[in-house]
Amino acid sequence: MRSSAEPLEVSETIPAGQLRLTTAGLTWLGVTLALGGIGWFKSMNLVLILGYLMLALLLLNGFLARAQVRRVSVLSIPIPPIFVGESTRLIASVRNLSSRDVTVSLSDPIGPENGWFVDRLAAASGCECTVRKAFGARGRVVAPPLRVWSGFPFGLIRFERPVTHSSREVFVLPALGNADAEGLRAWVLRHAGGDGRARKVLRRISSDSADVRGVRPFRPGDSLRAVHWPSTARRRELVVREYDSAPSPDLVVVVDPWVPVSPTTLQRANLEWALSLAATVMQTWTTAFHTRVTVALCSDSTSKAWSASGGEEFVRDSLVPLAEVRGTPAPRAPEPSAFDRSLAGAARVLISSREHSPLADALLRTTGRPFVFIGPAERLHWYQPPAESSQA
Amino acid sequence: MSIPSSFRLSTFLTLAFAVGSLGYAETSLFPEVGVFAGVVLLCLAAIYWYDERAERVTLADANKLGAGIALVSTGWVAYRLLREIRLGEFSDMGWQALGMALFGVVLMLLIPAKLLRSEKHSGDWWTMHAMGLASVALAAAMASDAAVVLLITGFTICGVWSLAEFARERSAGGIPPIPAKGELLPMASPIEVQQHVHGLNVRRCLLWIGLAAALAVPLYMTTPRSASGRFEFGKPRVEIGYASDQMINLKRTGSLEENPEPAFEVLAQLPDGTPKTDLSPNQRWRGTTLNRYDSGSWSPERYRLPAANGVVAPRPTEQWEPPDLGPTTYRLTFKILTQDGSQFLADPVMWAAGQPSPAATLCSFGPLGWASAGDGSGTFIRARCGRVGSAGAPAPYVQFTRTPAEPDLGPGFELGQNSDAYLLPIVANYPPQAKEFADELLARLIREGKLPTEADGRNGRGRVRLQPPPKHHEAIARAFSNYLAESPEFTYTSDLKRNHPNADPIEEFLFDLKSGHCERFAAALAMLLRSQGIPTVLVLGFRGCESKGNGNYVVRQSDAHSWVEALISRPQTGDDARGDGRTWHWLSLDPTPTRLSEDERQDDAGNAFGRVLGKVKDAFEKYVLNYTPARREKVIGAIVGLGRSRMTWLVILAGLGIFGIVTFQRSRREATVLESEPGRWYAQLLDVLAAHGFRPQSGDTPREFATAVSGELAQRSATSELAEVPIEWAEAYYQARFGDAPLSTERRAELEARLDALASVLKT
Repeated sequence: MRSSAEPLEVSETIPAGQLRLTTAGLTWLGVTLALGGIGWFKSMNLVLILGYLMLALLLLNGFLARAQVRRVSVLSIPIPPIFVGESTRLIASVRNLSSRDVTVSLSDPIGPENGWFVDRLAAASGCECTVRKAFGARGRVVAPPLRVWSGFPFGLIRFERPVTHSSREVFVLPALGNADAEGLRAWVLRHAGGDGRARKVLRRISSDSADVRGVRPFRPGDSLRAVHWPSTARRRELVVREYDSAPSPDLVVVVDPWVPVSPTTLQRANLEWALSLAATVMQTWTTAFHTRVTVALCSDSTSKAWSASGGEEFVRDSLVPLAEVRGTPAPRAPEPSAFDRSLAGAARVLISSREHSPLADALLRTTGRPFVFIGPAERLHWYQPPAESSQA
Repeated sequence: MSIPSSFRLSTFLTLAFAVGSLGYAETSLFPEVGVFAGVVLLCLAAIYWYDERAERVTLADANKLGAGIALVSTGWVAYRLLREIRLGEFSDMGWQALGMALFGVVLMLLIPAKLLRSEKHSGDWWTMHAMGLASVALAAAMASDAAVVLLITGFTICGVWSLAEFARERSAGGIPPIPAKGELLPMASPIEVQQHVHGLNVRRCLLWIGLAAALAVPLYMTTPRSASGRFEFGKPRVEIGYASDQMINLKRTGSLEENPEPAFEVLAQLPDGTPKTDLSPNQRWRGTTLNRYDSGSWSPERYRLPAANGVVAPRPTEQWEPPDLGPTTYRLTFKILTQDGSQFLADPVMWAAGQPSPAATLCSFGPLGWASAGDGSGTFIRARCGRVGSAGAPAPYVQFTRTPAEPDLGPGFELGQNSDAYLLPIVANYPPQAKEFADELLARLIREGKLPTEADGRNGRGRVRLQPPPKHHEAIARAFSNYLAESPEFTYTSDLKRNHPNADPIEEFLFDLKSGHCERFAAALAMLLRSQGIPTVLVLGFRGCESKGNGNYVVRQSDAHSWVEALISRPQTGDDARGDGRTWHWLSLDPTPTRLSEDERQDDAGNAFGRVLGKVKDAFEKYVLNYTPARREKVIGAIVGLGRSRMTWLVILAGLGIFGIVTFQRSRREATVLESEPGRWYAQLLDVLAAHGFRPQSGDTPREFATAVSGELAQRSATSELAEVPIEWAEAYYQARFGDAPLSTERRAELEARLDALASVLKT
């Protein structure tokens, strides 16, 4: 797996640039040659001088354009993995290395449509070119390197060079839906098990899994079951019990990215739904409960499994494999060894893009532990899928 | 979308200079173009003034306006074409040139219509620049005046300024791009602009133009000249020069152009072979004589004047020997540089009666003496070494001459009998008004005591006026010549004009214009003298020479000149008086004044602007209008000469030294900016980190602090990639502070760029 965070793009050598005539420059050259030729042939000396002057201005344009580009250093800040539809900031840092002001432009295939124009950047100073950007489709976006160019001062000749030798990668993760963390937790504890307890036991534990820490005034949204009636009667206002949260178990999520050989639109949508759900669960679980989430991605050959914990930033990195999932018609269940020892006390979920996945049984057979199956037909009260517009 | 004021101003000024240049250049062809140009300039000023204040016209309306202007222009073009068909005013320039000149005017008139269009994309602005350039190119092709150069210079400065602003606006997305075919005008696409310095420095544009000119001018100066002739707009060029078959047409008008091409070279030697270096800088060199005048045209016409005691005719069987002309004899060896059969001799040609011809062609087999024309004048028939028309450079020839006793007086000779009949062609043949003028002049000169009373030719009773007697011819000729040369009424000008095309040019010169060039003065004197019965011919040749040292002289086409020879007589002295008792001489008279006309005096007036303009004009004529192969050779020779001079190399070395010092100081300045004291630049890191809550604990060394911060940054996903930045800065600080390893500019920039990146990530 390639890390989403590439080393900062500071290359040892500056890539070579190239000069090229713009369309206007080509026309200019044509007019220059015509004027000069006619002026010379017909001995119209002032016209000939005009032609030479135009030629000299063209050459000067090339020289100055090259000088502008060579006087700056440009740094492109790598983009961390982002979710579909999420807005991020593209940053290019430009620094003028000379004692004269410079005028350059930056063109970025994944940046603003017309690039950036750095106009007369003062000597020995720097600036940041930024733009907000959102990607509409999941995947690994390979973009050519940022290019710095200048046509200064007339725009007839353009000198251009890439900032780095290598191209850039951006991992666009599945679109995030909205998950109610408490609802998810309750659902997981109720359905997916954890700590090796049985399902019935779990239901009981889920209701009294917290110790009462004290009471507090009622706030809108509090359950009526939480009202502590004796205190309410005593204080003559609604008072509810306040609980200490019980520790949440680790979570194992197996993703079954099934699509047939010739998938329909609905089947493709189901795949995106499954990946979005997996990403949302993972992101919600790690950020809300700070316990470990192990994700296993089924494939037709070797399944991958990896764990994440700690915070949102780490989750993004962990979700990178989901960015490139294409789906497979014959996914295989991961081997028990893929889960390390995380299966022991973890809640287990199988998220599939199909309504009936044989992998649930396969996992039960191989691991000896049940996995709660979630398919596209499942109605999850704690989950709201991402809007259609934010998906591919 | 509003256009930035500097771009608007520079573009309007560019177009204004283009219109001004073309209008000025074409006014000499079509006087009404000056008015057109004025109207267009007023329109430009109005559009510039109201552009931001009033609603501009839509594309459709602009097209209608353009069509209207095109229609009016077409009407004017049609009028001009019909007039040309009827009058043939520009028959010399041809239909091609006339068509281009007319097109230029139409182009100029269409500029305001294009400008009036409300929303313009890049293509529209390019089109306007192209229209401006086309106008200026036409003006440059027609330019015959240094003022056009000044206008074109203004166009160039504003054009460069405008192009730079235009490019900037395009880069910033302030001007919509050219729409694809069939598409509507796209909106301008603003580009993320990071602007740090305001306003474009016009001085920078001037520097660019200076650099471009520094490259363009030497290229132009050293480019070999085209063999084809100059493409002329308007009246054909009137050039000072000489051609052996030249006739004089006094009806020509226009400005006289100088041609610096060398016509011939002369080597002056004393009889002992030593160089003669004191040849007069005003030496005249006679070429052709013209004697027939007809309504402004002079042409040669054979006439025979039987002169006695001439030179001895050369005999083919005899070896030519130089004549014995006395103790002041010297020898001139001519090398003619033209292939047109021209021949020149130092004037007056000093021949001696009974002596061999003073001129001989130096053939490979020996010198061949020239034959005299037999009229006592300096006209000799050149001897050729081979048959007529043989190829190859003309053979050099020699002339033996001496310093004449009187500067302009030729050798004396006797006239044969009945010479009056022979003299008739060079006595008669003058316009009637010339006699009227001459009579009045004669009377006036007599009244002023410059001529004796008897010179008026009245008979004894004073009633009948006859021709002045021959004994006064010399005095009258000299007096008339002096009058034309010295009278303040008559002035020299190189700008030939005519106010009355139907009048005889000499009459117009004498009574109206009173200014002209040498041909007009010489022709007028010839007619005045003929009207007084004095036989006169017009001589074409050169006046002046340029010493090349060691007795070598060069005579250039620009030295071409014309003067008059009058046949005068003096009483014979001594006892050997023969014939009519008079000795006849050809007297050279040069009536051309050295005074300039009022206009040209004003041009050369003492004010600084006039002097600068005069210098620009001289430079323009020398290096643009008349930049001939000879002048190019001269320029290249001068450059080569400079290259051989030690002083040149010293100046170049000094220049390089100054450049090196300036560059070194600049790099030092950059280094000062970028490589200041380590503590100062390290403070940048501390500032950035402090802004986000990272502060060194008491007693932390930079490295400890950096390590601690890096550890924290590594814990965050967003900053993990840049976690090493503090350590890199700390290490660089240690190296610079304690390791005597100052930071390079590149490394410093790299560190700062990474710190910028870290700062921006921390902000998010």
